Amino acid sequence: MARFLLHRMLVAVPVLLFLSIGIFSMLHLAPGDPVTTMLSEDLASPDVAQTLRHRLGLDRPLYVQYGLWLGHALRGDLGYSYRSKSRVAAEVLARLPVTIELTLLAMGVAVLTALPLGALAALRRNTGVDAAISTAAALGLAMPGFWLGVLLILLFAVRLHWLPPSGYVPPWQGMGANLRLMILPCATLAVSYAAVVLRISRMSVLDVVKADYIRTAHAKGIGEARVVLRHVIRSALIPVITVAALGTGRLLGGAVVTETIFALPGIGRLAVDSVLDRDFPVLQAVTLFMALALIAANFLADVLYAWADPRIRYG
Amino acid sequence: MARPVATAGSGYRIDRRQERSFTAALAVAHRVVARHRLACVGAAICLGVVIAVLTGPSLDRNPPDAVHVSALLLPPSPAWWLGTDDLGRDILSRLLAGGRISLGVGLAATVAAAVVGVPAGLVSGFWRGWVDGALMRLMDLLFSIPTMVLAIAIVGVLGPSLTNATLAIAVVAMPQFARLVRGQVLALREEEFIQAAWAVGAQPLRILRRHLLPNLLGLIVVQGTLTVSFAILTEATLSFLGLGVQPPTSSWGSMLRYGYPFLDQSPWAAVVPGAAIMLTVLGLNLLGDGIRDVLDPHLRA
Repeated sequence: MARFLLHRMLVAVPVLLFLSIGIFSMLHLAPGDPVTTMLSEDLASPDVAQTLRHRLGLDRPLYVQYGLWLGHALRGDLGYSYRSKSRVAAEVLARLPVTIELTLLAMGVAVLTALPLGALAALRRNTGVDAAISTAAALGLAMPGFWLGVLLILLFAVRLHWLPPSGYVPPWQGMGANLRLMILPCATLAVSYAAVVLRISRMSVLDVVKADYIRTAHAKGIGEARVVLRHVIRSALIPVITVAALGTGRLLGGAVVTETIFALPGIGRLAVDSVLDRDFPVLQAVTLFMALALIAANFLADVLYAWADPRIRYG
Repeated sequence: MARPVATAGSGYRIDRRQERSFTAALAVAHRVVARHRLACVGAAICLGVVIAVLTGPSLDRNPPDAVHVSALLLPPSPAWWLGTDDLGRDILSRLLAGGRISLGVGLAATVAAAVVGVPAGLVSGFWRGWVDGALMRLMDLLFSIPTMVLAIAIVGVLGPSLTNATLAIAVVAMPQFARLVRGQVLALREEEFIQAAWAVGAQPLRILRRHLLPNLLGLIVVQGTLTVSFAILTEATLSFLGLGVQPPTSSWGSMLRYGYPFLDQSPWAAVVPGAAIMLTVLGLNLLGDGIRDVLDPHLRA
């Protein structure tokens, strides 16, 4: 197991390296000159532009730029934002807690509702309960995240005045205020992810229920609840874990949208702003960071497999 | 937003009699209609949306960009069926016109993704070797970035515009086509009828065209349907973020973007385009899932 996990970790290294080369060259070969964007029109004499280009190292060959960037990146220095002139690493770190809180809360809420509902739909298959749950999943899957956010704001903030429409308070400044502001964004983000988890957990439980060892368990006279909890759910978890891990990408993508709607200062919002400002160092850092998060999620899924299915032993 | 996945199954084979005719397609269509109620609902929704978007703008005498200063943010009424937005533009007219953009991008991105992804998957799966290795590593790289983030990064590099958004969606959707087709080809090439074709001395290209491709069509159609829905949703998201279509052109996503700030005065400008997106995506998903179930009875959930 330890060897397998180490191997998986090492495999991630070239992936990240290639990814960083890809993203780096994409951004640096892009049309549009960041220097002209940084300087206001009247200031941009060719001299000033040239000096700035030199200061930023943009006049060197691409591979030299990449080498320098990688060297710095490995030491935790991701360069400076073109727009705010502050350190990219600091900017990303400052916004990280928001996105982490948002995605983890949404993921928790989604899994805790979708897993039981999916199992319930499967155990009561072809009944009204199943139809209702499956329809809800189909609707959740087709629901654009931003539209759901708009509807939730409309209902709970504009009409009912129960919750604030948008904004952010760090948890250390007030846990209550923070959570109140997080309810709507979390619900928005959780729905599409929950829909995916629900569909797969229903399918997976349907498969497991038919298995011989479940019939055996029933035949031994084990109570229904115990069969479901101890045998069905646990065996059905493997595909659910896969999909939940793959769904992390969905979650991170959704965070971009959700943070924009609810004015949360997270990584996703940073990504959108960096595109609109053509702030390449930031865009590069955020993209790489998201990829890293997805790779980490898949890695975690591998660990969880072994826990859910004792037959899986990596060697 | 996850890439759509049409499950590669092996439940349905096109036999030689059906190979070159439309009867195969008709038979599938008939079975979808006969067996799958939800797929019919999906097909009806898709058909309705397509007809409305194709015929609507020409039946509608009000130009979608016409500004009516005396009619700002109105709720639906006999004069304005779906109300007006903050500039006094008719939401229904804009919805129909914007639908052409949304559906157009969905189709264009899907076709582009399939045109690159399907041959890539065919070549990988059929000839294997270093081409396969290189292509699949590339796909792995593309897979390791969340779709929405990759689309945003591509738009970020090329600059926000409708064309670039379409391109970005195509790039994001392409690996899935390649992977599915490759997987199916790998499974099919071991089957007896392919082995038999080799044995009688068929040329590789003939095997690809006559024996492999017909058996891949179902998978491609299902994946295509689900990809159109994915592309429409992604375009709407990009346009909502301001990274897709640029004014004065509008799609459903950008209508929502500009209607959203006026939520407390009149929700119609934001709610209506969102409903259109959801309905269309739902229709396509139901249709795609239905065709998949019929083509591949093993996977019916």
